[in-house]
Amino acid sequence: MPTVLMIEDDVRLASMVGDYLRAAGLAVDHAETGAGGLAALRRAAADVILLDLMLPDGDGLDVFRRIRALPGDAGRTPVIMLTAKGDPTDRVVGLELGAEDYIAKPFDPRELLARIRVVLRRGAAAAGEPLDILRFGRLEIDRGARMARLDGIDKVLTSHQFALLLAMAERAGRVLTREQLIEFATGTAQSIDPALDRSIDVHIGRIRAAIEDDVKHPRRIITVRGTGYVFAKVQD
Amino acid sequence: MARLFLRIYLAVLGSLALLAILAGISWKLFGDFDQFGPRPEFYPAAAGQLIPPTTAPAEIQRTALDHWRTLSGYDLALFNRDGDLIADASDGTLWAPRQKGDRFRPGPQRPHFWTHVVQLDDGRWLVAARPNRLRAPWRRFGWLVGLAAITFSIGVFAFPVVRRLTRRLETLETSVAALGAGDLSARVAVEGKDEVARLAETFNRSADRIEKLVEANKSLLANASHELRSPLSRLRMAVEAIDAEPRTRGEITRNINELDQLVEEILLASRLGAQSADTATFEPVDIVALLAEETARCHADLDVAGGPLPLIRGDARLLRRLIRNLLENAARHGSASGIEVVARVSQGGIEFDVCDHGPGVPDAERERIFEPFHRLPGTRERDGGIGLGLSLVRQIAIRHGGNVACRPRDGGGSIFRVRLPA
Repeated sequence: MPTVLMIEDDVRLASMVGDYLRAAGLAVDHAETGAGGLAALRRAAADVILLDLMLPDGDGLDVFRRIRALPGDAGRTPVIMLTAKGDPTDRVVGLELGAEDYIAKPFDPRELLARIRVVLRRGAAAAGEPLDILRFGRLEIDRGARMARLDGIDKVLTSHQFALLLAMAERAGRVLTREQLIEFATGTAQSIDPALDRSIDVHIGRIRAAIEDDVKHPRRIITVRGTGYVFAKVQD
Repeated sequence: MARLFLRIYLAVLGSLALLAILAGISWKLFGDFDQFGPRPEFYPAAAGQLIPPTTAPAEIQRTALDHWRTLSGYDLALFNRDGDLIADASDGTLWAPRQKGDRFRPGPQRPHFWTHVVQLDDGRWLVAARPNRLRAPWRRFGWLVGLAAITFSIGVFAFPVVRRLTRRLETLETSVAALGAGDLSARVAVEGKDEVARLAETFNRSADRIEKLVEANKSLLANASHELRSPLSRLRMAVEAIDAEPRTRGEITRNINELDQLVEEILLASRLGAQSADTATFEPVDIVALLAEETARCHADLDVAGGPLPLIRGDARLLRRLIRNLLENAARHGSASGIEVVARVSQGGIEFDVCDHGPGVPDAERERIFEPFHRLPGTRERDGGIGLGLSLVRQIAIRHGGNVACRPRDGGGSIFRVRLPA
């Protein structure tokens, strides 16, 4: 049974989350302070750590650094940060430091469970190896494996479609014309002819079918009329 | 009044000039030169004793004058009552006195600096003059030159003193301006113990206090938001555990989310209010991409007039918030489906309209809707989120050097037009 170590000073919340996760078949260990969490981690290994960013004995980011400084497997335990919404700096710093994921309070318990499962699955697949993955909410684009995953489920894309998706995802938040898209995806500039233009749209349609929740109202790959496509940077 | 130091300096120079003029006038008017030396009657009497009487031969009189010339160093000349020369011991440089008013003055006697005229008791005139050995004209105006030198040196030395004083005031002013612009760590170096130094101290104390207050306010808000979120998080967890209809559960969840958003908006509003615009964190932002993402999120229509638009410099997170708040406002007050967004290039930047098909905003309310927690009169309490949305939109637009305005839409509804400079 995978073990979740929760480092969270709100005991009442921790007990509720604990009950929920236990009901979902996970073993849950709880520590109220950063120091207690580190001690628990030295005592017994955990498969994933839920780390609150605001702890009574200091900043959660400090605790995170100290976890990463631990020797052996304990230092490579995947960490999901619990942040408050509207603290973008903490979020960014947390992910830059190498946290596996973050989730903003107040969170939907089902979403928390889903993210824990994703992290656990990934942890089992590639223990401690550096990941080459772009993450946009529930969508993962694995540059190493050249795979797209939604909620941890592999999505089938052709090599060309994946190249298009990656080209857009690497430039998320920028409107790309069809010409630019082809150039970035294939690495060659092409003069565009109407047939190719249509084929791009067909490919985009296929990619959408794979990664969008609702193909009629795409939220990840969005058409900008008269210009091109934009890959959404924020997909919450 | 560009420069205070110039005005003080000119005042110093002006009072100096006034002093010189007044001193000269009073010297002329009230200077009583007779009070120096013996009484006036002394001179004719003494001269009568020194000069041989009228009856003495001219030769004797001339010898006596030569004698006294040698002893006193003065050029001397003796005239009779009518001004005819009796004896001359001045090599012909002294002339007979002429009456001028009630005083007798010798004629123009250039080589002499100061000439005395004494009429003896027997009517003869004795003229005595100190030879001007330097014969330089500046000696005649020596006092004027001296006065000018004093004035000049005071003028020269007053300048740095005045300049230093006002320079301290200027550094103080710079610091006050920096504090006003949001640099709460601005302090002044305190020099000396005068009023300016005390002012600097007072400024430093005030700045300390302001910094502490702002700091306290910030940490209060951060802590408050954390404290408010803890029960919200627990509530969110607890909802999963209760046995309720999906509809009820959805309603509870929605309210929790609204509360959470309100907490976030209050936090953001106070942050925007407390900090000065920090353009250092600005980066190139693709507004059209942001608009596309956010319109896709709420199924609104996006139209970009005139092809690709330029990037603007800004904070992408804040701009996303601005767009999202406008779209949420449009969805709340109009039908959710009919929202249109039109973006275009405007002079020196980008402009976009968020149009809804709602009931519109009355003329008198078009500015007031941007006030925090303002509510249109007669509106019912809707499902949440009235509070800070539009106020944040305006704050964010202004922080980016732009603005937002509400105008009526042809055929009903409102247009919120945002302008952002490139």
